[in-house]
Amino acid sequence: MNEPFMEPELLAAFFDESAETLNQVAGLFVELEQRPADREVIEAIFRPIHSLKGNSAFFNFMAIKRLAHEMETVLDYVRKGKLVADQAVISTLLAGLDVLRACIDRLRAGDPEVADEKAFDAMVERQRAAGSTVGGGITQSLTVVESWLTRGAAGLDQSVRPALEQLLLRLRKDLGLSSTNAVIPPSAPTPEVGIAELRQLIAQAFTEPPSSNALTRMTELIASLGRTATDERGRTLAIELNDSWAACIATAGFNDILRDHLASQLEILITLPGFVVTPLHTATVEYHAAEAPPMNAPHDASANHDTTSKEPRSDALHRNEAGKSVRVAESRIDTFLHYVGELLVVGDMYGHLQTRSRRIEGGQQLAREFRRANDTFAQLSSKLQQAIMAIRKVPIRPQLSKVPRIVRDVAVAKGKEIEVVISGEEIEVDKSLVELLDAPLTHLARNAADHGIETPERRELAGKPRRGTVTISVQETAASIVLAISDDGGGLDLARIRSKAEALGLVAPGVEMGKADIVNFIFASGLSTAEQVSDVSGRGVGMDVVKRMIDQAGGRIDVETEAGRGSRFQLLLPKGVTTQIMVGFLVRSGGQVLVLPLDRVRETFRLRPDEVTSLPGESSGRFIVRHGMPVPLICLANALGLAKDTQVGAVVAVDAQHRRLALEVEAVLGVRKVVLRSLKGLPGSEELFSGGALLGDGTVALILNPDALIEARQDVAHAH
Amino acid sequence: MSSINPSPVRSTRQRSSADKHLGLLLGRELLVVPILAVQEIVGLQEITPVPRMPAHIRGVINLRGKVLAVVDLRIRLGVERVPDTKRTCIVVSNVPGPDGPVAMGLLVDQVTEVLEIPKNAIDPAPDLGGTIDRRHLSGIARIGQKVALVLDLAHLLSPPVAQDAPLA
Repeated sequence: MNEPFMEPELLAAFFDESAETLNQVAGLFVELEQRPADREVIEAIFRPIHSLKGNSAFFNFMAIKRLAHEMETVLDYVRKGKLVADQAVISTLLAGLDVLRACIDRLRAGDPEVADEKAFDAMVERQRAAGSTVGGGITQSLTVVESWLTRGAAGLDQSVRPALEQLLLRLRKDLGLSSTNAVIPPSAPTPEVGIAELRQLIAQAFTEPPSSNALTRMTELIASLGRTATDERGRTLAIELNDSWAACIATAGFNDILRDHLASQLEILITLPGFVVTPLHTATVEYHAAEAPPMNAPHDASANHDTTSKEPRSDALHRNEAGKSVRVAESRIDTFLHYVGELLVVGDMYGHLQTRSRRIEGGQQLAREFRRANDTFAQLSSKLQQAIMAIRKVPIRPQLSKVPRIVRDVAVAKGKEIEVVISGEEIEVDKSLVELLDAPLTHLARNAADHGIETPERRELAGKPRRGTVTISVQETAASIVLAISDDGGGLDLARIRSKAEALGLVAPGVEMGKADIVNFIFASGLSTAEQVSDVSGRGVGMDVVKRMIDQAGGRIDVETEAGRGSRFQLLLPKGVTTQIMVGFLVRSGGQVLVLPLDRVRETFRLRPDEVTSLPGESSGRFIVRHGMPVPLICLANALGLAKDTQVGAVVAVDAQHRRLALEVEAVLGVRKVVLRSLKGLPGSEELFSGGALLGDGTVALILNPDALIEARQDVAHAH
Repeated sequence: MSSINPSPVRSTRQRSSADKHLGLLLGRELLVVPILAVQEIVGLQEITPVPRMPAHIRGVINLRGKVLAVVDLRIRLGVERVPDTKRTCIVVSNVPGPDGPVAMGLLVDQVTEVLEIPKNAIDPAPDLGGTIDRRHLSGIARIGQKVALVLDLAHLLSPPVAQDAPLA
């Protein structure tokens, strides 16, 4: 019976989802203990258990279904205020949850659902017993609630007071005790109305896509059927109906077979003689009404409190709501992205055809129409690409929220006073970026606190406030995510970095160096300027690793530092690390088309011969002065060892390893979106080329890594 | 989730295709490569040269959206280079690399036919006196009256020996 006949992917998704759901729910119980009778929390627990029941039935895992069903019943009583979720009830439910989790784990491992039938049955019985205290337990519940309200249970959230008070009122009413402030029950729908409405909704849902309101209403109505059934047969039928419905929502979708199935189940159910409406149904509605702004709430003053408390919802609850989503394996999205990439190439091909059709005699009109069609196509494929990229996006907030803790630890250990300011946490970034940023962010934040911010005494001496500030900001630009970590500390100690670099043999003593070049030494492995090695940082590993990680992702790090004022590390990262589409700057040089990453291109200009300065002697480089700065000028074809260009059509200034390089090229071909393809089987090519780009005419253009040009240039210089 | 047991029918078929080899001509030299390593054969198309590569790397091509490196087998094996002809073609093969097999194009003068060569018809490669780098040969096959060199793709990606290093 347990042999799954479903597709393995569906099954895997079910296991993943269930495991995650159960973990989430466990967290919510802790919450429930603090906020008893909080409807939002109870609903957040009830819903996943309910859908687990439905899904497990769909996959034919009957043991899970049986247990989940009993737990659902208990929860349903809690939800309706018929049972108070005291410690005993919560313990029972948590125990059930553990068993469910074990079942899922066993199934995933390929074992049968249940290992020990007896123990399992006992657990099912325990849940049932918890549910059966309802009615007889009202007096007991009343005592519990009263004690909560009067003595104040430990950790009881005050914002749930109104709900508890409503509950108390109803419990008293159920017991026939007088209630000072009676809640007026609104007119409850009679069962006939409910069923008529349900019939109509079912018919509608299968002819046109149902609205979410209709779905909610149907779920409500169907769930209420189970509660109205009095005999065993009615209950069973109601459960089955509920399961069919859950299957509709969860997996199978809406089709004719399910519609007929659902409708016939409903028809059978309502012919049952015992099918009458019990007061339970009215109670639900009443409770709903109690949820609305309390009209005669005994504590009017708490109404204010109540609304504010709704705002900052607990994390667990939040996650649960965000969990209303479809689970997709990352690889599937990437496949999708891959195909969209190909679409861009097709668009490029069309562009070629369009150009060619213009050259045909009388082809002007055709070319125009072609262009219109092609523009639309390009727009659509670009939108499609963005939509897919958006699927991969997650908020960066969880990453950033680790920073205050990291900084705090350093501050405590070092006797510093540091404030952390974070901005841009609402920005969403590609999932791969979040993973990538983890280590660099931790490292840079720790560095800023440890090496950047001075001790309070030193800060006072320097005329700065005792309390230092570490600022983390995230910004989103058209092509990149910019993460900046800055501090208002002492700035990098350039003299110290320099002497360390000399000690490591990275530079000869006495050689004149610019500030930027000295700063670059911090990325050399083995260099750390911390005065002493501490637990938190200063081991001399890290910055090189950080740089390598960022480089590999196609990003870069910029460092600004000023003595006495602080430092700023800015990470510039492409929006999607796994993006297979990039904006390329196409040039022709050495007889072939080459692609430069657009985010590295600073400017293009024409060269006047009198602008070029040649350095005599060993280095024999050529320079031009741009914006008051000397920029090395290199011939791209020459640097790559390609055939000499017939002419220098333009010069492209690019950023390479924190320096600027001016590249002479034959022609600039323009900016284009290109599909990035990895180069495999080429020894050592990763250095110079970050990949291949597919062009519209079907050929491949190489994508240059400007950083490698610095080395290439040096090689050429040596060869001459 | 039971694993699928290979049926006996399937394994026989596999054994027979393991015997199949594709014949290639490099000049007048006949070479064979196990057909299981061959993905497809495509005609000569525009190859984008990759700067600063060893001479035997002709460049890269776009094979239906994938970028493949193309190795000039003549240069790689140390056979004299000749201009491309109408028969020159690219044999797309799976070449073992450090991170698993890599699809690569092998530029050859001509492909001939598919040959059935049982294992016992392949002898260890004799020393041919330096014409072809022996690392790239797994043996010599007897095909009727003719013999053919059996190409071993395992070392295709390893650095070439000193004498066929690129001329700078």
